[in-house]
Amino acid sequence: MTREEIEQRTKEIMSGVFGIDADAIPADASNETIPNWDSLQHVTLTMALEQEFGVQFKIEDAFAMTTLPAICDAVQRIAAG
Amino acid sequence: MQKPSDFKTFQRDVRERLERNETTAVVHALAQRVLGQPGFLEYNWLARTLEQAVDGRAIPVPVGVLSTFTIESVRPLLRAIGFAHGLSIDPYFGGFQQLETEVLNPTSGLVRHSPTMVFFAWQLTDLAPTLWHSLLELSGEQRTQECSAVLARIRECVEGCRTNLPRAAQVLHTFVPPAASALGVLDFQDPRGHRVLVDELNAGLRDLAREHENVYLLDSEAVARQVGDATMVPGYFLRARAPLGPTAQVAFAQQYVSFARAVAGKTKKVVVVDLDNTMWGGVLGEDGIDGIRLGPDFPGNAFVAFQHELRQLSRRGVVLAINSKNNEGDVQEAFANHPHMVLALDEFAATRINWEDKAQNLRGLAEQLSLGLDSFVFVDDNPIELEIVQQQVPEVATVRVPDEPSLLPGLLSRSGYFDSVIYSEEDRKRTSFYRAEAGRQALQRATGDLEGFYRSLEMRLYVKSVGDAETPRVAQLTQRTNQFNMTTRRYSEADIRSFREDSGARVYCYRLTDRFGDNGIIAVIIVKSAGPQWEIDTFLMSCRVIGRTAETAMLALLAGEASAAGATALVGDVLPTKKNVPARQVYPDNQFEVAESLPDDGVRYRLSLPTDTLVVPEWIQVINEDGE
Repeated sequence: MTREEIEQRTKEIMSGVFGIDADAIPADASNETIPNWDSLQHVTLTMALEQEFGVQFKIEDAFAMTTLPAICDAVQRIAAG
Repeated sequence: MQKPSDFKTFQRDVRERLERNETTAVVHALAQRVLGQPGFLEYNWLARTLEQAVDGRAIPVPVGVLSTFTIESVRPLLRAIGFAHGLSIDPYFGGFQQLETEVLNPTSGLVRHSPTMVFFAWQLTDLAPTLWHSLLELSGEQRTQECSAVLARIRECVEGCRTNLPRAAQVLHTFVPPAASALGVLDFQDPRGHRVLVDELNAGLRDLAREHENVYLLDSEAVARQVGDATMVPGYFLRARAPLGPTAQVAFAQQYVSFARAVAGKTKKVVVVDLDNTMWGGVLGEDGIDGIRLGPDFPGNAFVAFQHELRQLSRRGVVLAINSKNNEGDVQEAFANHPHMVLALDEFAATRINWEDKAQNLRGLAEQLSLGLDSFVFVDDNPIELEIVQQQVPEVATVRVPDEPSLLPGLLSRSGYFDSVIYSEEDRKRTSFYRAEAGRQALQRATGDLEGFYRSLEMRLYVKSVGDAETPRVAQLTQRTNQFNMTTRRYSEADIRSFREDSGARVYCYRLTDRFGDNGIIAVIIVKSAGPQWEIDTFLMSCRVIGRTAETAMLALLAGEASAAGATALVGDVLPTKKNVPARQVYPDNQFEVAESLPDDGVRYRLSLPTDTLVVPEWIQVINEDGE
């Protein structure tokens, strides 16, 4: 998966979890800019990302993934092994 | 399972249809998608879009969810699945691990939310960490003490909830043993292990549910079986106290909605099945009786299992019917002679086996069975037939037979349509009631004149003050009866009990038998205040016995009883709903006069007592079971 594909799929997952339009999510979206992204929804987001990408995050990754770029980094890193 | 790739197409299609104001069709399409187990990520959008499309036409169901773990993310799932069943579920989530504080405090957030249902989502690791982690370190005595402490705490929650929210139904999660059980391969059989421990605790929950009305148990282990234990993610529990993965959340949400449906009395009553590729594989008219797939091998065994499931539903009180394009003679032969046919044709209360339009057939079935179309579920394999039915009779819920036959068994039970929290003796016998009804209709056609028909029925009406034995059935009738129901007030067993305990009130039930059999308890009258004038709070009758003058007999008996107690009038209201048309003329047809108008087109009727014009029809023999 290319970086762009990961970003696009992540936006769709965020759209599903946060109930917002995928196209309205900017590339630098973070838990500061998306109102529904609280700690509870963060768990849901992490689960959804794991299920959709078929990966498993380490706990420190899960805590650090508070921005769209950070999520893409983590997914890319794990996918690369 | 739908593919995520078609979700965008689906969304675009829904948006376009909403712009064209095709709301009913859109609600159907959205509901079908929700019931077809969409991906976890679709629920948020489905919930919001359904809310918009349903636009306030769903029954509001405020619920409370108290949990020892993180479960808030089921909100959109509950909303979406609820809307698909016509319920607008509004969940309140208690504070994290707040059980007692929410139920014992009369001004807690939970109590202020006024939920009609409270779900207790707990797991043993939170309620009793010692039993979970250190079972083998405990002495027998300590273990017993720990178990009693857990059950005592649960009892306090249940009883506190009963005190502060007396009318709320309560649903308790049952316990599941840990994956890493104390004794490994020996755990299931050794009484010192986790399996036996969990069995004991669950038995304690069952006792609680037996002792308290309106308390129900959610089988967590059945959910784990369905979704796989692996999706109850222990990793997430340890990291974020969120043990339920996406699939498990969906499964629990489905269970919650099934309970909510059942408690709200939205249980469907009739399942209408197509025959070809539904009751058996293949097409009878083309493949012949020897060619259809039905028997011990796949795919025939899937249809055998489905027929068994239908029979089980029928024993639970669901009425079976057939709506199929076929030659009736072929079908009769197949039912009579196919060696692996499970069901017999006479287990179906009504059939439409013809070449007519299926929507029209469904209307005919509703009329013949005297049941509303919104209590029907129609199962067919043909998407075109289903589409036509959805357009022509949108009240009917539709279920499509999956292309893969192995997915057919269990389909109806997973839908939650027939879930009920009451299982009465009447339910077990319902099909035979309807079979007897067919006999009555034949007799009526044969006798021609109505009075002659009434006489030939040899009706006996048994009247009785409601006791413990009848309370469940009486509550069930108030929850399910829509047509012949003057006020459509829904009551729980607890409500019926409080009427019974109120010395100023009277609660009567009526059983009707005739030459075709026992109809069971078919009517209820609740008198709210039996003072100088008796006020009828509730008068309802099962639609099975409409049109046989039983209502006149009941009102005449009530008038007699009220007169004897010194009352000078009988007062009854009719509160119109979309469905209670058959109820509106009952009071005026039985000598009552209009007393006043009530809000929302309601009418209050009054009958001065004593009366000599309202009498029990001579063709009904009355038996008073109170022994007075």
